Amino acid sequence: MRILLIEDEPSLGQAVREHVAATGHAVDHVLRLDDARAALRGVDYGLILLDLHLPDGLGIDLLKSLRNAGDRRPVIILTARDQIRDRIEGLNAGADDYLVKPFDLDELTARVAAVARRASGNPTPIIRLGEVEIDQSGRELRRNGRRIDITGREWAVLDQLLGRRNRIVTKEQIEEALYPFGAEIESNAIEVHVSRLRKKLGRDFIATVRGVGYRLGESET
Amino acid sequence: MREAAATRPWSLSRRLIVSLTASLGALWLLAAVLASWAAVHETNEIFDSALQETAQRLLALAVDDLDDLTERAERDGFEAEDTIPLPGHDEYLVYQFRDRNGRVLLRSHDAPEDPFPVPLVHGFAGLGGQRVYTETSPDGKLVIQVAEKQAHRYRALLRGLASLIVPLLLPPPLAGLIIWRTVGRSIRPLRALREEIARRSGSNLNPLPEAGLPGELTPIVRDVNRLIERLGAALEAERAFAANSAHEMRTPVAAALAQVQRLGAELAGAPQQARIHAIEEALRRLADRLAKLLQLARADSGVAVTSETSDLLPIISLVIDEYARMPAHAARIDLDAGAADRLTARIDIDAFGIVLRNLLENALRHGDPAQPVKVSIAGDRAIHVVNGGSAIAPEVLRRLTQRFVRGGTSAEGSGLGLAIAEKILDQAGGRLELHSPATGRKDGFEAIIRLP
Repeated sequence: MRILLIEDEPSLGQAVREHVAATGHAVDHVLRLDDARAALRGVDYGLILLDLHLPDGLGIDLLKSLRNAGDRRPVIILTARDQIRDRIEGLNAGADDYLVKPFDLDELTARVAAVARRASGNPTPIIRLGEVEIDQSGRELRRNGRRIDITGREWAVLDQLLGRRNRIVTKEQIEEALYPFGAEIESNAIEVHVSRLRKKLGRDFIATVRGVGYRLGESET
Repeated sequence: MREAAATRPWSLSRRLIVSLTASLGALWLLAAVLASWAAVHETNEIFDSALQETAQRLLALAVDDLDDLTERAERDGFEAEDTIPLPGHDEYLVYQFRDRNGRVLLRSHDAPEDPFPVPLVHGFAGLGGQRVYTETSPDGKLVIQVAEKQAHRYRALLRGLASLIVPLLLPPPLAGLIIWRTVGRSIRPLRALREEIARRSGSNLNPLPEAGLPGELTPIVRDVNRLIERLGAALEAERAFAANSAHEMRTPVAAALAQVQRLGAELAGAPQQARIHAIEEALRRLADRLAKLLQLARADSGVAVTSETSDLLPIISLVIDEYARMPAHAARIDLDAGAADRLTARIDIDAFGIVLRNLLENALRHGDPAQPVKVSIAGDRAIHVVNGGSAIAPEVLRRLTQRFVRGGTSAEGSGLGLAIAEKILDQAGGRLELHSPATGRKDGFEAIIRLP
């Protein structure tokens, strides 16, 4: 999933970006609201991490304008404001979660996973697909009850396919979700991840729709 | 109580009423005395003048007639019939005509037969309760002495004075009443102003109304309003400081913590892990202390006081949800809201959030980890936070709400949480009660929030 991080403290932003990226998501880090708006126009982000106090305005205003425009993308507020009133305001403005600084990076990635799962309309954390059992919140995979380890990138690809289960996901969509601006993308990176997943989870686990992309589960058409 | 009586402030209205009534009364008394004196003087003058007039008339009338009588009496030694035989009546004035030797020649009906023991000298003289006027005929042969019974004059004087004083008796009480009412009415704006000022507090810093106030009070009201404005600005600055400090200080700590955690993740399996973990823990403690100091600053700036009532049930759920989602405390908090579907109280929701967070943190940190923390709302609107663990000695329990005092616990804590909770509840007009062992148990600890 591709994530937009809006945080004006560079050092905190860098750590958050790295940690979230390590779980397999592509993270774009911007320090200002106007950069955030520009990024949102250009890229289809799956989730937004939003600081409230920014040099050129309040994060809550960006959230409100998104929600007013009918944008239901998940937003997690990261803020130093810990008062109940701020929290209620944030949630009322349409935030999906609210994390008070300082927070644990692992706590943040768990919230990101939970919010993304809720947003994909799949609130139950365990998904069963054939002989594979996927625990998205615990980041655990089992095949026939045996635990399978996969890398962060592989999880990210899997998340994309799970998020649009039974539908075709193009290679470009996956690439966009996995790599931030300016990242070097090897031409066959996605194919490599998919083939590794197939090796671990079974050849038929991911279907290839030739010339278009990939699909998890049955075709809807 | 003597000191209290000695330091009791003097009252403006009492002083006005007493001094106005007293001086008005004294003036009235003076005026009454002067008027009476003048009336007595005048009356005496009138009576004296009447007496004199009567004597002169009678003398003028009598001179011719009595000449013969006198001569005859002198000549014949004739004892004159000294009263004129007329029917008697009660006389106010009696008279005697006397010759130059003092012999009584003629007298009025009620006059004594013996001559008045008054020298035959022209003018007024007193005679045992009577006033006597003596007038001599021009040739000096005949003298008239007219006596007036003083009792009559006194009666007349008294009657005159009474008719003067009685109407004068009405004004003093009337004046007192008018003074009392006027002072009461004039002081009413002062009283209203006092009540208005009494209504001002940390939550009500509206300016005092200036309309309808007398000119003497307007400058006071303006000065008080300026003070209120400054107080409001100071309170606002204090609150803003606490709120801004939160942002200014938490963010760098968050950055440091995140960087250390990244370092830990990058050096997974390295021998420095223990040290990294120690820094992480130190940063967490720093963040925790920071949070407590900011809460204390908020509590000290009177954040709890509000004029609005809020439903606290959603706040309770929200706060419990915060803790329930922390992996360390997952599923340790039980909420029993009872039958209540609303829990309204006059307390600022942020301040209430601070109270509940501190009590929950306290229970989670110091309670037996194997037992749940129970949050329940009783029928009397009290919120009970109960945790397991061994009972706390009463003398320790009493000191728990003092700042920087920690119970005999090995668990980490700032020693500020309960002090903050108590302070906020006090401000809002509520109360924090601590019990150990918990109600209905042999062990554990119970904190009860009594809402305002």
